Amino acid sequence: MKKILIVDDQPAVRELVSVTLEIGPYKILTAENGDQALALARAEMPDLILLDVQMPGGSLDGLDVCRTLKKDGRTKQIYIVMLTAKGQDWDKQAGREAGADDYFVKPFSPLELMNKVEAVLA
Amino acid sequence: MATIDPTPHPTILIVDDDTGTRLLIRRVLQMHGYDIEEASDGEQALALHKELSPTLIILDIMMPGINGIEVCRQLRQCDSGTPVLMLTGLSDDHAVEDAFQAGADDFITKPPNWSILKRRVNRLVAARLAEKQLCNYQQQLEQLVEERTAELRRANQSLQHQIVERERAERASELSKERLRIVLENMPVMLMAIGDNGTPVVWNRECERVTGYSAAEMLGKANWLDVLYPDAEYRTSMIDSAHKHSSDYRNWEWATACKDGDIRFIAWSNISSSLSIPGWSSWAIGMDVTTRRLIEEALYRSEEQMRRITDNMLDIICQTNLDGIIEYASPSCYSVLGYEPESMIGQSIYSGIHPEDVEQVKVGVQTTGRVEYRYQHAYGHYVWLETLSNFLFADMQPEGIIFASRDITKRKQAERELEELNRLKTEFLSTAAHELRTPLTSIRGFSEILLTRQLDDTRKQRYISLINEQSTNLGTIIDDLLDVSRLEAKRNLALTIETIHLRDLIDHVVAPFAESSSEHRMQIEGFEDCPPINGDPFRLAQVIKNLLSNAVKYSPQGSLIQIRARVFREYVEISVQDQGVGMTPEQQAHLFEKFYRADASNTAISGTGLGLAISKLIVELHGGKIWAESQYGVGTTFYFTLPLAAEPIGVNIV
Repeated sequence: MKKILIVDDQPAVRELVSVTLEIGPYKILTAENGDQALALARAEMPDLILLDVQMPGGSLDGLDVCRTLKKDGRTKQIYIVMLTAKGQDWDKQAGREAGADDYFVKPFSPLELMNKVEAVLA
Repeated sequence: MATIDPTPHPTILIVDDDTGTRLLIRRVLQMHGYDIEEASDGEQALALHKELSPTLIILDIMMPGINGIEVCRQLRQCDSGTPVLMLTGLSDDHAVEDAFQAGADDFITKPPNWSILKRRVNRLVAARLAEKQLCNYQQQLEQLVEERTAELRRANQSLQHQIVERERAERASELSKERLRIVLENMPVMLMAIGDNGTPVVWNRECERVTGYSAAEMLGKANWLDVLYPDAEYRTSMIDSAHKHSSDYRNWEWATACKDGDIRFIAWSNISSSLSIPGWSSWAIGMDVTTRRLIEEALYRSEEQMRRITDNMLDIICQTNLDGIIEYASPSCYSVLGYEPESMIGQSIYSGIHPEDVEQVKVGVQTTGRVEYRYQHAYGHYVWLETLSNFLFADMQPEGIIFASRDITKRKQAERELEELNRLKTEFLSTAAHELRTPLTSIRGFSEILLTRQLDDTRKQRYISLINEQSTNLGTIIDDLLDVSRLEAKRNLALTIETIHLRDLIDHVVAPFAESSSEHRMQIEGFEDCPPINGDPFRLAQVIKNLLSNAVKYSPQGSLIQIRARVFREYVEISVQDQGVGMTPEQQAHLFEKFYRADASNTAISGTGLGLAISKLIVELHGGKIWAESQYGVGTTFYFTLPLAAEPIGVNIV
């Protein structure tokens, strides 16, 4: 069973992604800020992390989380997909520089997200 | 011509073919001191005569060859004046006749009577000598006369010469005088002279030309000063100064009234004191300098204008040599940089430039001629200057540089602020974009889920509800964003100003809250005595609603929310106090920032993080202040002030 960690400060988004992916053979974990994300990632070692770029209000934003995980030998293998705002090129750029493996643009079609996840975890 | 014979012993030539005769005669005559020469025939006689030029010739007639008559004739033919005493025969009368005809002077018969002979010889010699003497005298006289004549002639010539010379000199002198007269009369310099009677005696053509008064009008005119200087005061002061200045003066300018009414300036030079001319009590030369004065005045005005411009303009003009040593700095360098222009001269213009900028300035001067750099003010701080530089050329060679500099410190600051604003704007847009996408993500996502999945009713209901909420949320976010953008662009803000009675406003705003948040108790205090204020009621209501909604959000059910007003002299202070969770110092620091949410996780449903930012904008636009005091775990009070009866700033009255 593949583990997917969803990290987003918005509960609605977390719910949306959960609902989208629940029909698949995945175990869904959620975190609502950077600290929780790091803790969960290290503890659970998910196969995939869907990580929102911004997450304002916390001490770590999505990019920080990504960088930290990728620097850490234990977690750097985890596939990270950044959720970025459409049209913000610097988000993609920043994500790439932080070490993200891929990106997905918000707002997104749940179908497309599903396909993406399947492709990654195949 | 016989030569003057200076010998004391006269020579007698005896010509006889008979030797004895000759001898006898010789003896007789030698005793009387005569030198004797002899010739035995006519030819010899002629030859000897030619050679000796004797004083007397005693000549025998009867001789072989040429006879005495013939000799005598020949003698006479060659113009000889030598006396001849012919020796004749006793009975030869014809011979005597012939002898005389031939030119003899006397005769004596042979044999001669010696005493008669002596007597006749003496007589003839004496006569001859006397004749010669006479001749001498004559010659001498003639010579003297000649010499005297020559002398006279020379003297006459010399005199003639002198006369010619004198005439020439006189003519030259006349010519010279004439020239001088013509020059003085016609030269392009005024010449006037005052005679002993105080009236003009010289008034040359230039005087006529310049003043318009002819010589006829001026010569002998007693009131000539009045004519030329009609203004009495001026005339008096002029005369006074001239008298005080008793010695020579040069180029003293006086305003002269001309015949045509013009005033012309004449520069007079008077050296009469050191060079007086007989017959002229004083004289002077003058030049019309009116044109020059006009040019000078125009030049002066132009320079004045230039000076006024350079003194007052804000840009600094600086001229340096090719190495940057300052040769001129305009006065504005004091107002801009705090240095006196004089102190800049001799300094290198590069010495005041910020060390980091010097190189770039040097390059700029050589290339584009436009540089921006920092220059040190006299007080020590740096000022931003924008300079346009240009090379100065003389004959195609660069010989200096002109710098025209402007203080752009404010502009630089504005640029920085603009950059900062742009940065903030970009940040804002980026955050705004993110904010908008958040509800959109839910709307899109859940609507797709609903379309593509089979769901139970509970879930369907939930998701539809979520979509609905998020749509509303999206609307609110958009409204808030628009508000922020409108409020920040203060120029375009349409605050509708009215006179507000706060008490009514508060009642109006609080009522719906009290209804909907029945768990909270609302208390209103202090609004009864509030004087009216000027403001936009809608916007102020917005602020109060925002504060109330925060209070409600962050305080527990059943707690008290107090809305108070305190009136001060110039403003009213309104406060909203809750008993909620309060804020940490960290949260307080970011409180009024856009999109800041004290509790990030709680704002998915309500609030955009813009409410307080908008409230701050509104309050400040009214001329007031907004702030918060809080204690974590105890509660929070928000305060804002509104000026009493003052115009809110940054407002277009609609």
